[in-house]
Amino acid sequence: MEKDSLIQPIGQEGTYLRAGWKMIPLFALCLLQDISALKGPRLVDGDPGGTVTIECHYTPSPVNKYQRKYWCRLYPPQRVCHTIISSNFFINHLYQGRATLVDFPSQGRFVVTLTQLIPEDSGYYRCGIGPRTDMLFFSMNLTISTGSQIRSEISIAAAMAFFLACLLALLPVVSMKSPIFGPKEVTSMPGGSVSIQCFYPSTSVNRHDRKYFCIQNRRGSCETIVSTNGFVSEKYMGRANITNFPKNSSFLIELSQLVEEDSGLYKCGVGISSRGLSFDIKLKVGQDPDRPNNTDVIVTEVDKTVTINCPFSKEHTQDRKFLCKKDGESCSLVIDSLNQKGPDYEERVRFKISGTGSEVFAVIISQIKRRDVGMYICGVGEETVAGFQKNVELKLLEPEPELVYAEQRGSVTLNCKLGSTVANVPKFLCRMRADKTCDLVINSKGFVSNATHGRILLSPTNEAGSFSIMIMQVRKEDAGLYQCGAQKDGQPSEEGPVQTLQLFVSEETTVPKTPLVVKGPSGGSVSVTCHYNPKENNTLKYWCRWKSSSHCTKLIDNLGMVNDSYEGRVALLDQPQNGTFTVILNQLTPQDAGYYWCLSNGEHNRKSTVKIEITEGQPLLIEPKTVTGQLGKPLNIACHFPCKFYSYEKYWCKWSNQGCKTLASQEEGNSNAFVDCNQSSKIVSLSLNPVTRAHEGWYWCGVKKGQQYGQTAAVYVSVEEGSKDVVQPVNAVLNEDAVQPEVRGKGIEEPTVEGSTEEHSGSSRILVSTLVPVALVLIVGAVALGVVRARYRRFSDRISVGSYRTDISMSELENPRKFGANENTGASVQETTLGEDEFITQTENPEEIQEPKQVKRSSKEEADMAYTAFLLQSNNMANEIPLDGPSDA
Amino acid sequence: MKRSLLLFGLLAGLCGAILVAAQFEDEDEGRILVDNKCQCVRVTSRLVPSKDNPEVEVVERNIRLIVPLKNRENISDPNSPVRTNFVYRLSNLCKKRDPIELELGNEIVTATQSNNWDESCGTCYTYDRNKCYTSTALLDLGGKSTMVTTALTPESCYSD
Repeated sequence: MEKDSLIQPIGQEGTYLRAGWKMIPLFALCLLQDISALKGPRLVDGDPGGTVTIECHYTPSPVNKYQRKYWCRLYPPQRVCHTIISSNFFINHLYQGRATLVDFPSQGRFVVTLTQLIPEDSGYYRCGIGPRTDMLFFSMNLTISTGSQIRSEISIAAAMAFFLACLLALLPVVSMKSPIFGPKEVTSMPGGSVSIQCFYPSTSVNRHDRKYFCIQNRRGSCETIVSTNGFVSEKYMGRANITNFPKNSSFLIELSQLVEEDSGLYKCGVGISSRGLSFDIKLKVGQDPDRPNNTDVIVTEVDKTVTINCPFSKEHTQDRKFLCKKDGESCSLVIDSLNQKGPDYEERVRFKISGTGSEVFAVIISQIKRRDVGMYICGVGEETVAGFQKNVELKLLEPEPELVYAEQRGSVTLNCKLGSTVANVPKFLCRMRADKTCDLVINSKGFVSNATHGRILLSPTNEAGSFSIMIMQVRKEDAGLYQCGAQKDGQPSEEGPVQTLQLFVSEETTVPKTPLVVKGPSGGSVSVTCHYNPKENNTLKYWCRWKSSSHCTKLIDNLGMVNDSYEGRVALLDQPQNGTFTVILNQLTPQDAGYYWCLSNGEHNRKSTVKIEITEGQPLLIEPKTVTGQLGKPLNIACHFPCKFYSYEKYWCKWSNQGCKTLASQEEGNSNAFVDCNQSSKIVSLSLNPVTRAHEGWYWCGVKKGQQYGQTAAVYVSVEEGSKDVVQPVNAVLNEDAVQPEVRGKGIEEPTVEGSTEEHSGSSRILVSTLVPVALVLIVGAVALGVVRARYRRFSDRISVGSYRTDISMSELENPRKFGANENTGASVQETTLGEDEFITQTENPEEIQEPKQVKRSSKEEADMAYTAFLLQSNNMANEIPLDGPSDA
Repeated sequence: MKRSLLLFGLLAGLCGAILVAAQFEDEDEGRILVDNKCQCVRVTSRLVPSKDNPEVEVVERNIRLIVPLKNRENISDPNSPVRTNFVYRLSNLCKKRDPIELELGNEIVTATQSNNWDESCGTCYTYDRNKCYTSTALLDLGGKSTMVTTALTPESCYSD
């Protein structure tokens, strides 16, 4: 057993070998750069006397396969590349016997080896294809390490391993997927400067730990250039600067007075450079080395017009002149001097030669489109690939994508500034795919992609033409390149102003895990916990319901605003000591299913979203939905808690816009309202003694465990003038009775047994056994009658009020929830009238058996009780009966 | 002892090479099964074409260990001897301890896959960046000796 679970070192080695991680030779560790046709190692490292092997990969197209392959050395300052060896069996005399070149056309690669290396071999080289050394090539830098120190390092393999081991001892945590994020590539002109922003996860240790910027050397380590400890390497003294911005969880590196030699691979990171908390950055200074030398660069904008000037020599005055656009290996015609035009340029290109003596022809392309970007060749002659040529690169003036850092499960805001010209044009956000197409994510016309449904919101900002998009519950898959823009139809398009954003999602997250879905039964309640930063003072916390791509309806906030239609149903309970606030929503209906957002106005505050689902089933807490109190009389409201909540703290509170203020309540023993759990269930009641006008309103009973709020149930207490002949107290009994029909079957038996043992002290079991079925039948009958009557009432649209019959139009009250407050002012009226009817049907109901404690009751009281019974039985039905009648019944 | 140290040295060297090489494998790193930052173990798995039948994909499991050779037996005590014995119980590592959400009877509850996390599994071979490690040291100041608490990982010890 022990042996099985122990990993033996030998076994580990085996595992590694099996692991399939390629043991790339050190020289190949340098970046494999992706250019269209040729690939090879960017940095090559060799030791004096040693050998380097360089593999160059090409697309195995017929042209490439059969053309000449070469390896040449670039000699400054003319930047001419002298061939060392080529596949045409040429070898430079200086490299005789040292260099070989082998071509593998079927595999699309050729291999160059150089042996007996000398320090002077260090320099820039190119591997390439074609008759000339400046057409299609890949540049590389070969470095020969200076002797002695290296030799001692590699002399003993074990020593080397140990050295590495020591290095590794410094890396306690190496994360493969680094949470650091920055720009992948930065370009600048010689003499210019760059500023590089890198982001890190906003944990305390990251804010305080060292930040660094380093240059990757050929040995795989990274030499620090500048760090927040105040270190600046000698070479960069006075031109490198690093600043930490703990508030934004980012740091900024500024490099100035750049020279071409600064091009290379860099890293920005946190901690120590070998730890892996870093991001790889490629810095390019000066002309793209992949770009042929005689290249003009034209920078333009969409919809603008460009003029491409092409020189030609006198002897070609009569020849055909052309401009073509490079498309991989081929070159598709744009226009030529015979006025043949490419299909895409038909209407927008002109060819111009001013005068016969001119040695320059011009091509004017108007209405530049995004797809026009690329390399152009202008030349003379019939063939598009031979003769005198000039390269022109057309570029669009586009800012680098804005970097946006997000944490998994967190929220992120993407800001788009498109300018006031598109202030009234529909806006969109789309996600770029690898093939440059853009999938619509959201637009201001109401579209929301499935992947972001319920967790995205587009809102305009104060500035015209600007808008922001908030994405909640950020997922790993959300990372990528986004484009926002404005377009009449709200669909992504190449035209019009766009802005590019690069979203990074850090898997190392500080966002607390919260449930994505909260479920509650119809009529029951849900509670949602939201997190915020308690250190940010005076924050506005609020809860809104996500309606569509650009609407989130505010339901409640911590300053006392409550949406009218949610009065008495929703409460926001702030718990600053935990940095959370809890929102409780009760009296759920199926319409409440949807997405809800927790928001707070602090800049760096957590935002979260939750989906509320309405399940089938009964609410767990039982209490009357409405209660009427008599002025000046005591009122007792009972709430029944099932045994599930035995260990929970139970409370009563009075709802207000500001929350729910806990009130004193009494425990009143076990409840009989639940099947299978009479022992641990509880009744907790609220006493209002005496009832005053101020007592009118919503009361909630609920459970709480520690700081966690659980289920709640709401009751509306209305207060009316006490009638003189009514006997008190009223409601405590009512409610207990009320719940009994709900229990039915087995539940009924229990109170009966209890009652009989109390009253007859166990002597007459026979009486009990006969009475129980009788009671059962009667109750069921009564309930059925009640239901039928209620139904009848509902459909007949009539309610009797006292001795009058009043017609109430139901159609006007489509949504009784909306009239929550009104509903209850009339509740008493209905109670009386309905109760009277019910009372007649229930005269034979042997109440005394079930509730021996309550000896005498007035007819009114029983009527009320019976009504409540009906109410609870046909819960939904009762809720659906909207009442608006006069209160002076 | 020396032999085992050398063995670990070689192993670490191998680790190094793999780590550097692994930078290129970021994309197909696969699914992380275990990422124990306390013992520096990461177990990942991914689907690769089978060697026997390239048309069939098989699961490949990769175990990466980083052995911190310079750390102490008790990482919180700089006076304890250097750790030379590293035990990795894969069966224990594979028990995921981080809680997951489960739905039980319409309610969301959090649960962990195991609750018997005994001492030996909890031994850390390296520092957790998000934890502050302290030690006590004797400070002589003006003839008076006092014990002071010192931070072993200062950058992790800010209270913000």
